[in-house]
Amino acid sequence: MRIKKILALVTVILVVSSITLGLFNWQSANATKPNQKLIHPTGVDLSKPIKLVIYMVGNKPDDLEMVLKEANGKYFKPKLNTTIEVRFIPFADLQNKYSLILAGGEQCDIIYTANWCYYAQEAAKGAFRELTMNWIKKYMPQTYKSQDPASWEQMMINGKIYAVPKNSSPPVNYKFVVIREDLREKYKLPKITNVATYEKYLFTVAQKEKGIQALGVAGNNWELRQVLCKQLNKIWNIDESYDFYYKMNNKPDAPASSEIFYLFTSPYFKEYVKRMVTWAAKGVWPKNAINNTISPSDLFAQGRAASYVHNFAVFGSGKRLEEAKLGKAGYYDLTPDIKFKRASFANDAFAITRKCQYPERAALVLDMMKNDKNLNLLLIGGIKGVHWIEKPGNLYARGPRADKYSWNTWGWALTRPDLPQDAEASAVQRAMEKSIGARAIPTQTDGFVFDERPVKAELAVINSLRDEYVPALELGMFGNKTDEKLKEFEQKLKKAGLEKVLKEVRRQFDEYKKRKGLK
Amino acid sequence: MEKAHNTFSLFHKDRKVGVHTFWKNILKNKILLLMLLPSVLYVIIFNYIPMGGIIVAFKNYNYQDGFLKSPWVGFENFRYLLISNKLWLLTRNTILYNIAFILTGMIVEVGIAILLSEMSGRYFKKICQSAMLLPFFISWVIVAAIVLNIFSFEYGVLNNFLRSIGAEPFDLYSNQSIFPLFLVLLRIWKNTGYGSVIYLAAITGIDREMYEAAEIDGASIWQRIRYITIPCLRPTMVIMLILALGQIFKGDFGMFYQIVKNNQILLEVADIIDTFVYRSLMSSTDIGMSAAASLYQSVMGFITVIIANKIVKKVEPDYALF
Amino acid sequence: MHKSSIVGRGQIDKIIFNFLSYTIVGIFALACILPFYLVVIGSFSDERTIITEGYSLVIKKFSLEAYKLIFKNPISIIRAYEITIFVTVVGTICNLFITLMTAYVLARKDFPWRNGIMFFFFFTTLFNGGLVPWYLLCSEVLKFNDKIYALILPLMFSVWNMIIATNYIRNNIPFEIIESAKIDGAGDFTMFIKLIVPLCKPLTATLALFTALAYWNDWYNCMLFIRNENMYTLQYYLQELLNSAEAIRRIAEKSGRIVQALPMESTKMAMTVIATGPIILLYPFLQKYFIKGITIGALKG
Repeated sequence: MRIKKILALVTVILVVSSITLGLFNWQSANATKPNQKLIHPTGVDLSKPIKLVIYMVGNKPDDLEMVLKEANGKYFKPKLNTTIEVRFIPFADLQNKYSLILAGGEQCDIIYTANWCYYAQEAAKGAFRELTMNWIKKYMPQTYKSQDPASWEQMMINGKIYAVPKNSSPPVNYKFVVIREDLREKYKLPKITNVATYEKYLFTVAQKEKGIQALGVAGNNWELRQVLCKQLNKIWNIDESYDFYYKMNNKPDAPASSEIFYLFTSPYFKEYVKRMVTWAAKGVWPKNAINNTISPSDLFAQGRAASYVHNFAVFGSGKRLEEAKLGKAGYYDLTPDIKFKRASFANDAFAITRKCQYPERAALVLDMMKNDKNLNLLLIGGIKGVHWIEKPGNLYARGPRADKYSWNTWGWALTRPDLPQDAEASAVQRAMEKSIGARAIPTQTDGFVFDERPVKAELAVINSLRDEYVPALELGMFGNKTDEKLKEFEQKLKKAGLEKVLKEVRRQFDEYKKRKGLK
Repeated sequence: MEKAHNTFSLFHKDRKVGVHTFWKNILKNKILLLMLLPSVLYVIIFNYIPMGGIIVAFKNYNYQDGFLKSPWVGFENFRYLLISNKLWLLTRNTILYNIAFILTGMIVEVGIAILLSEMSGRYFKKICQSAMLLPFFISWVIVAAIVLNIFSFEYGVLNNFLRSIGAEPFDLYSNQSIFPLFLVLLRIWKNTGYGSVIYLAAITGIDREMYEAAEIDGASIWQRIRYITIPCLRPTMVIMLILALGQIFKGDFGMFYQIVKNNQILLEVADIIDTFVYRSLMSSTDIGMSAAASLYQSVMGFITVIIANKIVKKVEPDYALF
Repeated sequence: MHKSSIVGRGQIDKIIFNFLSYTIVGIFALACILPFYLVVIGSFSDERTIITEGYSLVIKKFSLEAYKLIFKNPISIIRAYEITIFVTVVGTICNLFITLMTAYVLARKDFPWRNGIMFFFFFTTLFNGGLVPWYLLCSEVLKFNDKIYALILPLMFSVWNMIIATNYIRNNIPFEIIESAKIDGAGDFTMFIKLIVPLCKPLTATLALFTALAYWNDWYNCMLFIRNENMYTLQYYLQELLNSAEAIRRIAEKSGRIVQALPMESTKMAMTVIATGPIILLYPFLQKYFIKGITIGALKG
């Protein structure tokens, strides 16, 4: 009886407190004073104070409110009579939530989008406002001037632009390796300059080091595929979001459309798979790596793996490894001489939504965020002196509250070419960044964007086959049955209509070349 | 034992309703109808109104035109299911796994419920019952990690043990014959605690008098289970079966995706409709194509249930759902 | 009948039965406890031990990092608990009332349209219009965004539970009881409250458990409708923490930048422990309803 009474009492208290908490907590006062007639130089009437809601991908930084207060108070409110609010869609909820936010009636004026973040599909569904060049010229004058022309092309769907891309594209699509330098020295192995020396390192570690796996992999081997298939053979995607490739051969020229091929039926892929079979046989990674979910970077940083492949993020894991005193990290580029296609600008962009009531105002906000250098730095790095500290030579260092607002965790689409670099980066990292940055070249294929709509059913099946076969193939799981499996994979792709899709890619590429006047 | 039959035969009489006219019936049952009102309204609002969304399976949906005015595309959204050349295989896998899950699940759940109900140790019983509910709280993501920890070929606990006693290591992740069985076991492990609660409640609801009478008649514990408990659980089992059959074309995505991953060797025996659709539409927000797949699953499930209910109605009219 | 010999055999049977049941139930319970135990140990372990050595039976290197991460904002997590408990308590009570009431009506043999209405309900378990129209209805028409009822309404009625309940009432409560109550002049609703609900204790306990678990574990509706961090439910709050840990890695790989790493693996496990605890403490209270049987016969007279 007594327990019952106590339980009832606790429940009542909880209920009451929850209600009071719930009811009184979400009333944000948004009182703004009426303004006199305010006209922006572009002709936009600014007299009405408005609030724009920007949706981003990722998680909210702890100090976001503090940064936004400064951005609104110093920039948006006085100059545009506008305030902005930034909301986040976590990566994990992206697929569920992204189109719901666009489909629903809630306020969302500007939204992050990208070629990997449903840009083409949502644009096709009419989620975004179409931006004509004239409109951009009028309402985003600074962007119009500063933006790389190729970046607009990369946003085009059937010749129409629906989003404003970033203005700098660091070569995150280029991969290199990090190894345990201490292990390399222990076994007196040569410096790693090419695939053969890397192979030797991995084989030695696999054979001699117990309790540590030579290469860290989780579920697939795509990072290594980038190096050994793409970079080594100098082949590159014709459109970054799809698996159709051409032989780039260090040159910027566009290929003949007939030279475009599907990666996973190409000899390059087969050759790579065969190499992976030997690596798997030597025990370079555990037999069940395909079912592993611990990320390679963690495996390496915690001393479980002796190497892994990725972009500049490897320096982070190397640092963690060294800080934990588990070993010494060494960074090596297996293809130091190749030139390659720079990453697509469409990797990060902002779209103004169809339901935005003040598209011109949104355009002005975007224009300012991208081009006002101080505002740009504020949004990307937080408050100067608090979240980041300026260092000579266009560098930045971590400020006292850097943990609460890390550098560039959401403003990817605001990236400019002149952003400060990390002052804490080692000389090796700096040199690597410089070398890789210099080899990312503009090419004639940069502006080509494949429109998948005519073949979306075929492509859906092809993608499901790709995700079914490729991870197992490239982890060498089929051993001596690999040829058989490759054939089976190819036949299934053929049945699913790979020819039709390839034909469509080639047709669109021909059209693109014609439009661009390329031969 | 006759008593058990008596309880059920009670329901055979009183079938005289339907003589009255419709309006008279409404007036007569106005309180009962009023009591149905909240749930009926609920279902209309939260289920039947949004159900109109099924039409996007036949449309090329866009925001401007919305659900009603978006252009019709016929069966275009279903096409990827057909050209995959896999629909039959996927459907078969999904059904077979579900049948295995339903049957083994039911046997184990009923078995555990009976054992628990007949056990005398109070605290042991309570502790075990609570313990069996624990797996329900462990997400498939963590289950997958634990499974890998035990069965990993190089580092797994099991294989380390096998090697230490000089036995051959066992590779679960490339064993196509053991793996389906393993999935069934995993499923039993995760769901039994939760599932057996229903049967436990049903057993608790059985009239004690029947057991007392049986005891006086000298029935053994086995006979009591065989002739009282199991027959009394039958209607519950039939209902649970019919409910499960409606979902027989829908697979447990979380389980299959997390445990199997993109392991082609295992996918050959463990690819289901839901994982295939996920792989196909992962990089897409095409609601038409996903609606097409779920409509297929719903229609097939619907047909199955209607047939099952018909059969039940013929054999045992009182157990039928509707 | 030779009574004495039967009693003897009965005792042997009982011993065999007890031996079998204790062994089977014990082993099964152990198989259920062990993985959970591994999770608890893992949640208190150093991240590196988990990654390099996997799950273990003893804590090799004690660490509270995961719990520190979860409790870094104690006020937020307490608030999340409050919201979740509130939603669970209110939701479960409302759900039970509606569900049992519906079940009672459909279980009445003298209710003329019960088959048709049962089909009307059952149909919704088979077909649904997908997420988008449902979301649009809830957020546009019913204005769910940032409202506490957005967390209660979507789970307030369960057709599955209702069918289970209907079946239970049909099979366990003899229709005679209802008829005699009717003759005594009891109204339909009074009969439900005074007669059916007390007779259905084991059923109510079962449904209460199922419903409470559904509310307790629900993060999906919170993900869809709640923007205000002060209204996050416990499960979504924990998930958000994990998301942000995952996001850090994704961002690092996306931008090629170095960022601080969070203990992902141990956090996952600490999350399980924290989210399981309260409900596992609650379950033993409900269990007494499964243990004590009821004697309906006594009511028949």
